[in-house]
Amino acid sequence: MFEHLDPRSPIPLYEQIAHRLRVAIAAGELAAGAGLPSVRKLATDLRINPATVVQAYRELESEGLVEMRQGSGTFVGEVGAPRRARERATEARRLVRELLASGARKGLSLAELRVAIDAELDGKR
Amino acid sequence: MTSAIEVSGLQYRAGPGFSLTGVSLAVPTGSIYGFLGPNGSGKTTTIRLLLGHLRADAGTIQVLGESVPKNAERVLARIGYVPERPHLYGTLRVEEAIQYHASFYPTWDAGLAAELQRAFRLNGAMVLSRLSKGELGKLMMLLALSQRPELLVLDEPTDGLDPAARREVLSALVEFVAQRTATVFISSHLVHELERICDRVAILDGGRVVSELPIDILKSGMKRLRVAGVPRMLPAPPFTILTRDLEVAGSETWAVQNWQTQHAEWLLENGITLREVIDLDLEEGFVALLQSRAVLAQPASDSSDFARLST
Amino acid sequence: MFGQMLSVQWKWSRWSVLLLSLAVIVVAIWSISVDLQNSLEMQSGLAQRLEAANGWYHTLVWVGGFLLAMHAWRTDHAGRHVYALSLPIPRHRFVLYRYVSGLLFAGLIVLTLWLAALVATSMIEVPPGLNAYPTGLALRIGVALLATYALFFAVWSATPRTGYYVAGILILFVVVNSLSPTPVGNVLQSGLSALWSGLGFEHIMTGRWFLIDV
Repeated sequence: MFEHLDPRSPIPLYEQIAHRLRVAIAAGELAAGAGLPSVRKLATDLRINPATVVQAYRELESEGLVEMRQGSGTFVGEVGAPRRARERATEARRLVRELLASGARKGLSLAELRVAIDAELDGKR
Repeated sequence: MTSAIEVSGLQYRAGPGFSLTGVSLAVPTGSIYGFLGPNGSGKTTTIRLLLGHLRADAGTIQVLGESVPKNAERVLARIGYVPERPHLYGTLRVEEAIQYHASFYPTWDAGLAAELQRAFRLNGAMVLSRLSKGELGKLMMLLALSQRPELLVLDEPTDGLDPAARREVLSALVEFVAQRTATVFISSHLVHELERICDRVAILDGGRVVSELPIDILKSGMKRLRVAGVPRMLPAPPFTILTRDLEVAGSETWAVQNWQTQHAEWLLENGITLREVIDLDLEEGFVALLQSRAVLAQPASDSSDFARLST
Repeated sequence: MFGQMLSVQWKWSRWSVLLLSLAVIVVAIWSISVDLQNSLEMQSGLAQRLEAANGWYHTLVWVGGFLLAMHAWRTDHAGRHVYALSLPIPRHRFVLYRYVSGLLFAGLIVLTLWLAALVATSMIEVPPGLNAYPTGLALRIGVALLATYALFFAVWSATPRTGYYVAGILILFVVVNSLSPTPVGNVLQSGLSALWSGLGFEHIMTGRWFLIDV
């Protein structure tokens, strides 16, 4: 889940971690009640500042996605279907925005992108 | 917030070619503080002043609330130090070196030492002079961590280590600070390494601190801008232009610091077209920062030194 | 802490201590191993042997002081003292522990000499009119070794810069002295000899170091 974290990216590491977890929770990969790796373990495995992991978990906690229990760890909270759908929609929009931005950098028009998307989808069918 | 290290106005003349000129630092307790700078910028000298090995010509140093060098011995008992070059006695065996070191520290954690020795796969019977660079680096980290120090001062702790050893050393460090409150002061010219683990960085160049910021702020403000229609007389911008490269007539690439998205309006007002904003990582920003200073110092200097830095 | 410093310094010094101890045993025994049947030859033979042993003792005292001091400092010098300086121990205490460790090794050598001298004197019948001084000899050599060790310890513990100053002064002294016995040379020479005797070295380092004497 945490492969290809990019410390060189201007997106802070804690935000990258929180994002990965958010997507996994929205996708149902992490079910309610599932335990997240301890701060110590995740920091050691990724060789990042423990404070960064804490910051990521805090952010998710403030969003109501996880619950930090003193002494026993961090667990995925009860996330209702509407909330999950909302998170998934956010992620989908993010991906599209990324696509559009990188298309714009390369001078591709929206029409060209649409054609490419349709062609790709046809190929899949 | 209290400071584990507080330095102000530090001056030290090491010789005719080099001096520290007014180094000031405040390292918050519990932080992982990166001390970044090219080789020869004064990192090791600053560290040796912090430990009381050298005496400053001017300025004050407070480490863990104690004044240095006056109370250096007392404060050294609470500091784990990994020097730039291996300093241990080469004639000792690994287990002898551990015993010797342990005898000086009342806070020594023999359990942790044994655990790290296993994790690092260090053979206790090996003579230090026969150890590889990686093994020696691991042993020095083992000694520093097993003291259970309140402050770790690491001078290029992974310099010259192979990637596997570097990984193990850094993991052990992170695991240590994840379990207890300790401040880490880590110097390196390996920018990527610091980028992963530091909260704050200070950038040292030519014996002075040129930048000191939380790492996220430093990174988010560093951009490369591709602009067109730059007027001949450029008014002072609300951000810092570190370097300017001419691409074709009127088209330039700038490396900038302290960039914010609303600054695009300033460009617009001055008739400059913003083609692209490219994110810089810490290393690119670091190199740009040093380049800008080199240009200030000697306008005709080439940038070959900085090319070396970025490798 | 001291125990660890002692054991580490022992590791550096042990071969020298062993060799010096063997040497004093050999010299002590050899100095009186003469044919005791022929009394006339014995007298002159013994005197010769004792005279030669006296020279050996002097050599061993200088070499021993040098080696013990060298082993105390060489490794720290090689590491430019970074390790010692980063340990939480006052500098003067570190130096004291180093010094005392070397002193104990010197004591070991002197103890060996004393035992060897006791054994050697018990092996022969001391000629009438002469006396054996095993304890006296061990004490004299012990004091001398203490002096040379202290001297070299001070030199070795100094920074390279101080070492260069000392070497520079010595070279200057030799050069000035060899050029001509000018007043400058005389002043230097008398200054140095005043230092030599004034500090008591003259009394410690001269005299007869004979196991058997009148």
